[in-house]
Amino acid sequence: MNFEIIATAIFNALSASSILIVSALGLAVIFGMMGVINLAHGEFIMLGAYFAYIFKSLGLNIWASMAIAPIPVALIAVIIERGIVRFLYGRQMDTLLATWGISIFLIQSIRVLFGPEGKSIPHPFPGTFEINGLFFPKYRFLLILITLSILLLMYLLFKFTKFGLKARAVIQNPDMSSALGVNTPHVYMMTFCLGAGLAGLAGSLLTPLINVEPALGLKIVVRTFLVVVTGGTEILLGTVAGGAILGSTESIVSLFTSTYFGNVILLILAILIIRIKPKGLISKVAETLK
Amino acid sequence: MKKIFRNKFLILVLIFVALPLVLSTYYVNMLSLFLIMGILALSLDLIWGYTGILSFGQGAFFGLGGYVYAITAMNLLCEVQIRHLSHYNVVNHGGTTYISILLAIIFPAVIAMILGYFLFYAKVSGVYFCIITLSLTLIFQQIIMELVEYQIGNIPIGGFNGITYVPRISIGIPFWFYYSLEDPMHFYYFVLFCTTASLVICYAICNSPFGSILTAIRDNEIRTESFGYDVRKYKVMVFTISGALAGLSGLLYCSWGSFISPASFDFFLSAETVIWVLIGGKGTLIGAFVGSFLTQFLENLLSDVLVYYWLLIMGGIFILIVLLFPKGIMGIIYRLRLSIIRSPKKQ
Repeated sequence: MNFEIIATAIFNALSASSILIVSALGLAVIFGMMGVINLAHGEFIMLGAYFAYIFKSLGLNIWASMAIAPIPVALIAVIIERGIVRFLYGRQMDTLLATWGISIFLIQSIRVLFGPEGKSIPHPFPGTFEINGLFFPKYRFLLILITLSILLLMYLLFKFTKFGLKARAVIQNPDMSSALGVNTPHVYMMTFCLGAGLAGLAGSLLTPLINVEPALGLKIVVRTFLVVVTGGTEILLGTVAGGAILGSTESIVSLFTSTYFGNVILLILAILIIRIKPKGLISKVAETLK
Repeated sequence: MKKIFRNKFLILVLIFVALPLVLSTYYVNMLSLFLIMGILALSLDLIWGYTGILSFGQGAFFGLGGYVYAITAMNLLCEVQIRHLSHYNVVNHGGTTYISILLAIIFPAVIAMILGYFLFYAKVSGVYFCIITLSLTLIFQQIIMELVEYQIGNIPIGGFNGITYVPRISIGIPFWFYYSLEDPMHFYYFVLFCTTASLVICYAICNSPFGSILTAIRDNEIRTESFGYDVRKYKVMVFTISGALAGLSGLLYCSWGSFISPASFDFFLSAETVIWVLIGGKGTLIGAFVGSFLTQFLENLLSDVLVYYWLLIMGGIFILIVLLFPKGIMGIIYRLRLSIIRSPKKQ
């Protein structure tokens, strides 16, 4: 083992984990709050990427378009929540199915509107930096920093704001908090909106790394499901734990063998973790919502 | 009640036996496909409708059945001259395909059993089970897509291009004579036989004490467990059976089109299977066929006109059914019938 391999492995692991964490966070917020897996999560990511593309085509700066892309995604999510999802609270399986229907609907709408082919977006931050003769892409490094700051912001949001207080109350005991005057449906709506917005942000942040096409959500979303399921319902800690373990294992295995083997290991590892800890690595779930 | 059901079922089977006599070859082929997909829907209905476990892994077992059939049948019956990756000539020596059929049913069943053992004995259920099986389907597909340069026996896996020139199912007596079901009508009757057999087997399972335990698990798992039943064991058993059924459907599909590729069991197949069962009404067995027939017939009719819009409409219908008619068509029929029976007759 020489320095180069170790440094590459560490950088790849960090980068893969940060990508996983940032794309799973929106899903984790919705899962942690409502105990429901949002199967349309991949499509919210896809919408984020497409909105970044649309704003860029309208002539905005690439950074600006990436930054405001989550807003329309969150607005679409509010419409979906008000129109469909809110009728299904308490029916966990039905919510899962309905969001699956939404996912098919969104993929196909984008395909009809923009065509099935991929779109290209200019890279906002090309180039590499060098350490001891090793070259690392700058954007991936930036992504690690962005992920850390998003996590910090989320922590502050949940710990120090009024919304965060209400949200934590609803996670602990929805009935009791609604009896104490918390508008539970409103909190759920805000959470769904926040989760979708985070997914949209992930989509716009990932545009330089992936091909923007209608089915891109499907490619990312499996890993994010596995991260959330292995991580557990604790929103921030669970996602970080799941993302870090799965992401670094996959990237290190891929580095030494092949990406194909990395995929297999990812699935096997996730199944093993769930076999040992069925409720995820770190889990606190509201009893009444189970 | 049971006798009425049996009579109706016999009439239905007779209609299906007579149908090819009045239909063109194209529709006979389509009918075979609908029945094959009906078996897939049946496998989902058994585990979802009767046991209450939603599995998105049926697509993976379907693909697995198809691949096992293709690989074994071609290795046993054919001589393959490979020119370049997925370009190859196939000379079919002929022979019966019983071994391939058996393997293509047993292999997915064993995989389902192992997976079920891992998941159910860890008390993985509900959403977690869905996600694991969904990941299984998608990752299995990715794996097959990346196996471009590998071959099993003489057969290249072919990656995205899949395996072509898969021989049709052929029946007969080994070492004596064989008959390959190349004629669409003969193949249709074989599929019809398989469909009827699996439907009868599922009906028998659901109406046996074993079936009552499955329904009990669906309705209240904890209570069933406290009655002393080993819930985990029953779940593994039913998951194995449903894996075998999905494998059967996959091998029939592979033989139907003499072709299998990762695109044959993509994300949308799993989605569509769930839609079929939902539309037909889960937990009714026959509903799985009603849903798959209706949807595929409409799809066949309308997809030329609508092309892209078809899946859009399907997504919309899916959401509406979940919201408004969670029991599907058969649920509506049963409710209508009940209301007719219950309504007081004035004399």
